Amino acid sequence: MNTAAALAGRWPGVAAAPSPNEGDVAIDIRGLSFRPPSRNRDAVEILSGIDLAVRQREFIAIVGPSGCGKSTLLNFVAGLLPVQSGQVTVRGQGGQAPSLGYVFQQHGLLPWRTAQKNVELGLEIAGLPVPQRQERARAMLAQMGLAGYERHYPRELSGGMRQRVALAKTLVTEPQVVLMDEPFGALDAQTRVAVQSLFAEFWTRHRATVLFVTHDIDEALLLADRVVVMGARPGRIVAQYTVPTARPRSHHQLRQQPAFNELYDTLWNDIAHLAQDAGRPAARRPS
Amino acid sequence: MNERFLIRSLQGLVFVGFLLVWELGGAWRWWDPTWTSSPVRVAQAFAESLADGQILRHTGVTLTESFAGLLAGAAVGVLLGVLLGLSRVLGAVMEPFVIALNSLPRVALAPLIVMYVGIGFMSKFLLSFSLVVVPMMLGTYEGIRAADPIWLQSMQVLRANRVQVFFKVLLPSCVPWMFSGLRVSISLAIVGAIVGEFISARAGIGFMIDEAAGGFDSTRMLMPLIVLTLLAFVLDRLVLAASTRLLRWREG
Repeated sequence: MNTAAALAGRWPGVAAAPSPNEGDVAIDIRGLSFRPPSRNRDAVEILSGIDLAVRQREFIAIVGPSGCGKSTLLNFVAGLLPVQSGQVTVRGQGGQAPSLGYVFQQHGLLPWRTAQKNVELGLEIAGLPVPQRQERARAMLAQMGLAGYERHYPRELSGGMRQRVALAKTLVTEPQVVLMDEPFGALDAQTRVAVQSLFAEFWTRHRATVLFVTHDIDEALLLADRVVVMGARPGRIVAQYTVPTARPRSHHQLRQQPAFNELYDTLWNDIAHLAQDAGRPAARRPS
Repeated sequence: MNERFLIRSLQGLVFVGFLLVWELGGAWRWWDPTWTSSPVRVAQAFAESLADGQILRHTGVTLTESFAGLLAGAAVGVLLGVLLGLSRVLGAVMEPFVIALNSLPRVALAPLIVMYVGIGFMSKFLLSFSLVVVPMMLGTYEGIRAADPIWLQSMQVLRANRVQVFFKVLLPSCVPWMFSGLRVSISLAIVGAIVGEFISARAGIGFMIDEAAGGFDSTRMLMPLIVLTLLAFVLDRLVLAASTRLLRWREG
């Protein structure tokens, strides 16, 4: 089945048929703007003229004040929102529509399924035979440090464990493009560091293309190849930085590098300024 | 564990106390037992009725009518609820009509139903059915609409088709609502059958009560009623046990 065509048909605005010389670009966003349907003609644009090209296997972190449309941007890439103006193209490594993974801010697990069954969901939908999907889900849970919790329901797990199950559920399908919306935001500091290194390790092995929304600068610098800073009202890209540090990285090791500290300060300043701007009422445009 | 034991003991005490007051109040002439009968008389009447097979036969008739109405009403109700829940337009169009149907005191349909299908099994079945179908439909409808959008989004990202979304997300998310609908429906189904029998019947618990009322016989009016109450109570406990077992995943 031609999935690219099916994708384009189902989600208007997601263009099919990439030209061959653009094969290296996994996510191509051009002039993406979004204004929510509203009777109020002064309604603020959620996104305004977003241009972003993400290379295959690149890890991008998006930081910015709340309300800058980071999550909305992910929803456009996932095809959960129809594109109004601009263009969003998502390509797999062979140029076809890639397999997608999305880790939401809330875990989004089905409460009536055990951890094991939740992780199997994506494989079930893909039509994988039962023994294989059981084996892969079990192995993935073990990788996330959840061996022995296969038969627990989400309500019987702690917040950190649920989020790890959600991560396992997404990663077990080995998606080529992974979208993550503050996936570790709800975790306590210790758990977060542990889950971050789990995920960093996984990514080093599988090298998916990742769009990772976070408000934690440390996290962005630990994980990403490139950090994109977004501003609010309207949501737009204000700066991009390449993270110079080699992998594997650790929190401890990063702190001792001058280049890291410099970038950390720059990002911190950017976000502090943006947050100040966002505190003021948005300028009304004359109609 | 201790509190559980305390509650059980107090429940036993309430039950025995009620029986004692009922029995002794009549025996000590606090009131005239002609009107209230008494536990001993009811038990005697039950034993006699058991011996000549009357109570079994009539209970069987009423339960058959109720069960038929309950099963058919639940099946059709769930089906309609799913239809309304799946189509946003259809759901929005039909909502006021369904609410109106729900506020209608449907037992008042009894004479109309008897006029249509006569006084046999069919009228009791249809009355039970009409009482059960609406709460089951509303429950299923609510259940489908209460599915968390994030579940649906995550199914969309996994490229699930409509059939998969329905069977893996929407239907399981209705199950708790279906169970609470079913618990309400058990007593409604019995109400439907009894009311049908009051209007006109040749057998059933409603018929027994109606017949005894003709002879001012309070004992033979209360006895079938109590039998039915106990049966409905046991049934409710069974459904509750099944639902706690099946809904082990629920919070709280």
